Amino acid sequence: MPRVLGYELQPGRFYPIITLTLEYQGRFQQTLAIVDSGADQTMIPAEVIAGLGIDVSRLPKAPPNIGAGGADQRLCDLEVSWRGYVFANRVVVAEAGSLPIALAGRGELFQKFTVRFAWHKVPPYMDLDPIAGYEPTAGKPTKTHV
Amino acid sequence: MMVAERSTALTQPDEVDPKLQKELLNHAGEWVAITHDRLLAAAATASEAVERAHKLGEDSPIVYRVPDRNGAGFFF
Repeated sequence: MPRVLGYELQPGRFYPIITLTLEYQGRFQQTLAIVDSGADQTMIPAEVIAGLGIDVSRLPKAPPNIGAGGADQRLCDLEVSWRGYVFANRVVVAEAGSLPIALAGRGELFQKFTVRFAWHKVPPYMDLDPIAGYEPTAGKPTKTHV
Repeated sequence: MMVAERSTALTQPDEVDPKLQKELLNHAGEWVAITHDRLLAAAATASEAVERAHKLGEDSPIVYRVPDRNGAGFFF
């Protein structure tokens, strides 16, 4: 059962945060994401997406009823994984300046993991249990690495 | 732009050292590029932080914006 300690993102305030790996056409970027049961979908700041060499302005616009990432949200097809578990292949891209940190929401992460928060503990932590049959696939050694 | 091989990107420990978390609080409002235990760059923009991390030889840094101390720009 993977356990993740709370992350002190603001002084004395701990948040449930994981480190995501984003892969787009062979390029990688890592970013922090709040595990957010209140978020419909995985949302990534445009600034982080741009780090993958993606021209955000050319991405398709997201429907207006998705997320809270500003007026100009986009959709981007890329692979999102945590500790090798790929849990999303499409994300909502939040408008630049509207979201300082990514969100991992119900539409993807919570479909693949049972998430238990223990925020009454010191230090606070969360457990993320992969659902039955869900195995890590990203980052497995290729034949050239064996 | 430099790109990371899959093996490189995914072999890094993914939890950020609590000591580094404390250190990063001094960079409120800035974009930072870090490894799990080291601050590589802090800048006004994400692209600048990433570029500086690349110059230090880190192809796949963890990038995010440290929230302002007063919570501005951060609604959680």
